[in-house]
Amino acid sequence: MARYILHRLVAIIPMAVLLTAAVFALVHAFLGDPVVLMLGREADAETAQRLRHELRLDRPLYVQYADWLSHAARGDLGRSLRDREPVARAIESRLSVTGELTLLAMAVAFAASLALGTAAAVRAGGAVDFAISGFCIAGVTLPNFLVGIMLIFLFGLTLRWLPSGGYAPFFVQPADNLRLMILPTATLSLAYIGFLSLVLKSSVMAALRAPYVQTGRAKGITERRVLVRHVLRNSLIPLLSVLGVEVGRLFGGAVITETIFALPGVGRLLVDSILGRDFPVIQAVVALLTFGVLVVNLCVDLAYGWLDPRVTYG
Amino acid sequence: MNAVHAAAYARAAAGTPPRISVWRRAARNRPLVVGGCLAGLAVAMAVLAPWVAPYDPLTYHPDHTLEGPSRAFWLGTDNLGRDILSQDIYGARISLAVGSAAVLLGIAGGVPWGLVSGFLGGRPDYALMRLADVTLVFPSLVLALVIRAFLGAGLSNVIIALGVTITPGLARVTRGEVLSIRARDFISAAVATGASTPRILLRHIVPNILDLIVVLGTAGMGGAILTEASLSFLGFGTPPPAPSWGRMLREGYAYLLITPWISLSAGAAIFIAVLGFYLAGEGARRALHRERT
Amino acid sequence: MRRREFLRTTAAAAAGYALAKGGAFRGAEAAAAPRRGGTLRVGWIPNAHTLDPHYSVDFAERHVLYAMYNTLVAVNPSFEIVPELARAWKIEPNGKVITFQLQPGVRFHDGTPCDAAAVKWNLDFILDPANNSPTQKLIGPFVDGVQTAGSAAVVFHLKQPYPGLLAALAERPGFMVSPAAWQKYGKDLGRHPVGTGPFEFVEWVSDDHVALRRFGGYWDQGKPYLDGIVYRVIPDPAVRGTMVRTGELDTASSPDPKDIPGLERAQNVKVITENPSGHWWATQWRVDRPPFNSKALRQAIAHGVDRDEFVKVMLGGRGTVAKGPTPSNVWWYNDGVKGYTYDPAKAKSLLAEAGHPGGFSAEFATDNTPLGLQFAELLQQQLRKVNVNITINPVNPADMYQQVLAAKLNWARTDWTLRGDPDGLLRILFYTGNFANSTGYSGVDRLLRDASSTYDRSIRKKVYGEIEQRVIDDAPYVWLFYVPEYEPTRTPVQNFAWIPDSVPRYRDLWLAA
Repeated sequence: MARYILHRLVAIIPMAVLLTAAVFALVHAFLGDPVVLMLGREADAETAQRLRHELRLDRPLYVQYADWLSHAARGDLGRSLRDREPVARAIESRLSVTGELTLLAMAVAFAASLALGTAAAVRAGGAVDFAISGFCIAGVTLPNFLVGIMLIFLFGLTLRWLPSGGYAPFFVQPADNLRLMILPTATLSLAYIGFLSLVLKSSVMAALRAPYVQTGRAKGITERRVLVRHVLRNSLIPLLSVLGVEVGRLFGGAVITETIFALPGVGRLLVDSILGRDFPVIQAVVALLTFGVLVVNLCVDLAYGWLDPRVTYG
Repeated sequence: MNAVHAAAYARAAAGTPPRISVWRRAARNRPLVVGGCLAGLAVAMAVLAPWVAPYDPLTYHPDHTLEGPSRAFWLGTDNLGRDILSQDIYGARISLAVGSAAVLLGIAGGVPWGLVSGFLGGRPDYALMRLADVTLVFPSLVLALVIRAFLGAGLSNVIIALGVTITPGLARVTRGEVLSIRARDFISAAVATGASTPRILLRHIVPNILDLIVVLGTAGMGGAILTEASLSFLGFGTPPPAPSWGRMLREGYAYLLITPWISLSAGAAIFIAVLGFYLAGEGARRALHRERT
Repeated sequence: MRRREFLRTTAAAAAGYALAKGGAFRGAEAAAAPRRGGTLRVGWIPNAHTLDPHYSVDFAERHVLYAMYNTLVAVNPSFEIVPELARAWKIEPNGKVITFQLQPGVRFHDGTPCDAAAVKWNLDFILDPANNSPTQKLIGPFVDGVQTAGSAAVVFHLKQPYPGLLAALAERPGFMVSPAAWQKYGKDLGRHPVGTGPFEFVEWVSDDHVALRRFGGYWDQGKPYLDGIVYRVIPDPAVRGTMVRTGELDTASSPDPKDIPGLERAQNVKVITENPSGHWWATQWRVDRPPFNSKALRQAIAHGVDRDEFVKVMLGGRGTVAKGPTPSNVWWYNDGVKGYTYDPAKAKSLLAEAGHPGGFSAEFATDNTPLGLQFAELLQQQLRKVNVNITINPVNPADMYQQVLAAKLNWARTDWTLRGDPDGLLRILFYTGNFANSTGYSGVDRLLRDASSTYDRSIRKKVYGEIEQRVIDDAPYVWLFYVPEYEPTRTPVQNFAWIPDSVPRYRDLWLAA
């Protein structure tokens, strides 16, 4: 088992290197010259060239990439071209924001989908099922920025119950932090509640039909116990695999949510850095994203193994 | 309707006669019906726009900016005094056109990719699928964003960006289907009788995955419309002045307290279109599933 | 439209300063006595990249710079030069030597003194081309060198009499940075700023906020009134305005003009307006290459735009039509200057004259922001009526100026704000080959030199009138309108007044109970 994990972890590295090299090349090829951008309205050719040399942007691409890689391995991700903030620090400070948002959204989605999916499966075909399924489908198909805007409009502007944007660090102002995260979490999790509920509903329904459940019922085990001990445990497996894939999509949703609610997260950093041609930041965020998703997928696979005793790893 | 029809056709081609009437079965397929109607509505709006829309969406009325619904303007006007309802209707054209072009691009790229990979097997298959996995790692919005940022502004670049996000998923599924079909008897029979590779591909494999492609394409439309709207919302989508639902949502956001109709109507339009295609795709998948089991 | 004489003697300037300090500002009421305390929450525009004034280019940065740093001299709401770090100054009769007497007892936030040596260090730094400071272009061509005269005075030696120097020293070239901090941080000073201003730096979370707090050792006793200022980055203009309405912000800069009527009606909000302002919007193109090297074509389009409609549709009716780059409320404005009338018939005939009788098509670049897009769409619809068809090319705002400068974009939207001295803006835009001359324009060099080599305002005004008429006729820009400056604030916010350079100043504000 340990060998398997190690094997998988090691396999991530070449893929990560390949990806970051590709992104490096593409970013430099297509996104153009950041130097005149930085100099703004007082730029001229000579000053631009000097600055380019100073930032070492005039060396061949592969040299620049090797340089970046060697620094990155040591934890130095360079400095933002736009405002010279060390990239590692920029990402670190934003990681907690995006992390909190995605974790909250996933937790809410997980809990809600568990409740909704099970309820819909148990009362399949009835009014409850119809209502829940309808809600889920709406959640999946409604664009999340529309949801965000509507929530802001309703709760932020009209009713004025909740703030319409901004962020306060959790460890400094916990009450404010939670209040500010309510609407963004609701926005981000809606689509996933819908999706996960539907997945869970179908797997619970399938599990309910399984022979061992009928056996359990025949033996006189209560409905509730049947549900919790047998059905849910087996239903969690497909849910988990879906979760792994969805983490990547969650980040995509976070990008928009952070933009609407003015949260200083990694998603917004990515968009801003693309707009501002901030190579080091784009590079670092993409690398981190790749790494993160690959690691999450690994964890999901492992959890798979833990949940389903039929799965073994060579 | 197409998916079920195609599925029945494939069955017939493989020698199994269809059971009940195709249409009857379709009518009982609820998601297909509802989805089909909604998607059909969106398509109708797109096609019939010049006849249905009360105004030219680009004509502006400087004396009627940011007005609420009225007799003259059923949903009100936007910041330049253009009719919101007309923009919503014409917006269908953009969304559907971009969506279908992106899906077609995705099919044109993904299907051959999956076909070749599944057919070749072994090392090349592994490499090609790794490539697909690597692209799938990225959330589609981020991928589209990055590609669009590379390519620059313009409608065609938006379509390319969207198409690229659809391609790898299609490639994977196609390849999976190819593998399962390949294992079947009639293929080995064809090989045994000396049929050439392209012949096998074209005459046997492709017809059997046609229905799957249709299903994926329909569902993909919903995703493409949503991603295009997201791109437009972030400012990277369809360039102005062509009315785009995503851009309307974004521009309307600024004026929410003055007139919410810009954002709300565009949002509702996106919702209906995406819902329609999603349900239609679901229904088609169900019908296909029933056919195949 | 107030006219003031330019006051050369220091006594009058000091009096002007006292008047400005104690009297009623345009837009602000001198209510009760200032109250100490409270933190001001500001809705800030995005794109700040550095808080080091020697490298500052973005407009957003100035909002913070003026709170954290002092300039050698300052401008008041009437655009007159008033003392700040320099309490008095004397210009020699030959106009080429200026001596500044410095305020005594000024310290930087890190405790080091801001004396003549520190001031000289700052100017030497800017003037040295090896430091790549963008501000070098603003005063480098005119200043030979700066010497100290004791520890409390500095002497500027100019290459020629240059009346624009004082106004320049009231903005970026005049900010004083701690030399010790530069030794310590070098290029990172932009993220660890150290100045002499009433507020010192606390933190900067990129794209989120900048926080400042009161500097206890500020040389102007009793100031500042606020405990601190927090600038929150809110990229969307409408959201900025909304947050003032909901009370999440105390004030916001650059709201959406369409929001203003609603903000004015909102409870607990007052909007402080500057109208007319010197902030103009125009389109620009390259006049040194096809197709816009044809004067007839340029004038055709200049006649084909309905400026009044722009004001009506984009600005909600408030704002003024622009004839040229000079607004009507500055001393160098000439009433007799003639602009373009909206004349579609004339536009079409000029178009034919330029060789496009059947119509003309071109690409128009605009920034990809809600207002930039609105502008382009309106322009497109208007010009359609005179057979000019434009395709809109939305460009990332961060990118746009770079591409314009590199001539990758030809016809594009642009906007500029006023500087304290007319030479400040007109030279950089219209002098042949100047770094901000992105139209390739040439033709007023001699006039610009004439206007900026004398201190005599009546002569300067006349020459600037000629320059104005010339550039309007030659149309390297098509001027459209002046955007009023709005600052929506919540009722407790006191003492805000607009300076005509369109940079909001927050340091003297206080919050009423």
